[in-house]
Amino acid sequence: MPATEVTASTTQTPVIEVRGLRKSFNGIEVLKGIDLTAHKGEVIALIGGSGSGKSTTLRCLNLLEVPHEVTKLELLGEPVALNPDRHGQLSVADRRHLRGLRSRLAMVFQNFNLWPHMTLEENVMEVPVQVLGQPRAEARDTAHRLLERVGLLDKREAYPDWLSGGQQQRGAIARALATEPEVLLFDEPTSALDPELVGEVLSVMKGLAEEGRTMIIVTHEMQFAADVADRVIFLDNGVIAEQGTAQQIFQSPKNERLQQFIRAIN
Amino acid sequence: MPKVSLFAPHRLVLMALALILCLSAAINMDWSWMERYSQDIIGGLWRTLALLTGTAIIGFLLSIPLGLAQAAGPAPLAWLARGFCTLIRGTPILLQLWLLYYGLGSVLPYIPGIRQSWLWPLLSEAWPYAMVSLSLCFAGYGGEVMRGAFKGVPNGELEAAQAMGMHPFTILRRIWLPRAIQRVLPTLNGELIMQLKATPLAATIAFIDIYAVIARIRQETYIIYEPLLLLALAYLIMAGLITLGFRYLENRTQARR
Ligand SMILES: Nc1ncnc2c1ncn2[C@@H]1O[C@H](COP(=O)(O)OP(=O)(O)OP(=O)(O)O)[C@@H](O)[C@H]1O
Ligand SMILES: [Mg+2]
Repeated sequence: MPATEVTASTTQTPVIEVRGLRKSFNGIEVLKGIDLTAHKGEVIALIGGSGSGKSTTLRCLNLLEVPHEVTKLELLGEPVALNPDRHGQLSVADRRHLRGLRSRLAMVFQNFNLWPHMTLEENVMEVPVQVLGQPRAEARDTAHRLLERVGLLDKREAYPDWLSGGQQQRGAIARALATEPEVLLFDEPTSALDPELVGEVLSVMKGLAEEGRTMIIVTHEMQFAADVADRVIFLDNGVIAEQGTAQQIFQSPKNERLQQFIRAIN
Repeated sequence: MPKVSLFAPHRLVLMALALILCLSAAINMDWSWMERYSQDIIGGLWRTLALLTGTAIIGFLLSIPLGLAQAAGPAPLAWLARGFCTLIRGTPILLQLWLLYYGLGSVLPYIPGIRQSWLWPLLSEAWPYAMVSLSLCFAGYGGEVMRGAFKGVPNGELEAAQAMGMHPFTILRRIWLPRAIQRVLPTLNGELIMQLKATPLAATIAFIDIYAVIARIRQETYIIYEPLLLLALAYLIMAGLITLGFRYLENRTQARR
């Protein structure tokens, strides 16, 4: 069992690699040196208490937040250069390159963030057409396939505000899949949902995990994390306090804060 | 009671009143001048509409960068845009119009060579000044409205686009601007009607709009009320059409929620 694990992590290519990631807001450091590597096909669950820095970590991975210090940042095998401006703040050197990388990473948000002035189908088609320059007919076929997959084909003409939260989030997942992304980032995709709608979204995500997609999921759904994650990372106060398999993290946690955290949620 | 809202009791009473008023106006008042001046009236109406649509379109196009600069621009641009909007909103439109027409209009002829340029025929007429002044005015009010509209679009919707690699201009064109305009339609309706009611000011710089035509009719015929009633009716109908147009647009976007 340990042998396969070692071969798995050595033969697989890293798709996201960060070292020494630090981030401050208004002089307060909220990420204090995060090292994180995601390999192709890996499903990582990012857990931790409120304010521990999970969202910020995820947002730094596609540069929605720019770290204020990082020793290595590679997305999809390509280094992302950050240059300091005259105040010493880092900013992305090559925005065009970043946009290209971003179209290959997709993000699903807590609040869905579908575009309310477009139908579900148009939401899914938007990025393939506007960013990748796909012909509309092709993008529409893809959209239909993806909407069917998340069980919303009959709602393709609906505007987001007509739909339930669970439907909107499944639509947002379809939108995220439309560019054939190599990595999927999820920031608490079920936290804004009524309890009875959580299941439908988690089952879509489970399907994606079983397909072997690379996923990094910030979640409070511990059972789900235990079911699908290859690796669970526990973040505490801006540092990775412990990481390991779901088994290790949930059955035999070593870190004291993690023990508290797990006691609190059970 | 029938459910058709047109036949609600208060509406019936109002309609009867309007009918009586119209009838008595038609029978008892003097409308003999209308035929003689019909060409002038149509010309005036046309010029009022041209001034309104021209200035509203130019002004709205200007209000987009003005709003954007204030909502998201770098500090110097934001200050410039804010200053412009404050200036326009804080001074009477008549003053702006006169400053441009009499002020600029009296300085321009001294620019060497301008009398020989292709611009001169334009600059010696009234309508370009009316057009520019009222456009700037609409832009000033619109810029403030658009600032709020841009800021009101939830950040997450823009972040979603950013996170998928959309170019900032594409985000503006496909998401930010359409969402802002959608939110701002009811306010724009009001702004446009205010603009309609500002157009008669152009008559003060010898722009012959419907208001100027009616004023001349009154002077020449010594008929006082009838031309004014016609004028009021003309503005009411134009305002009504604007509101109908916006209601149509709003209904179309309302269907989405
Ligand atoms: N834009 C911001 N400006 C200022 N402070 C911020 C900003 N974003 C996050 N923070 C702060 O950074 C810290 C980490 O926030 P983050 O959102 O990453 O936590 P989280 O682990 O995702 O928490 P939650 O479970 O509540 O979502 C918090 O203290 C938060 O107040
Ligand atoms: Mg969070």
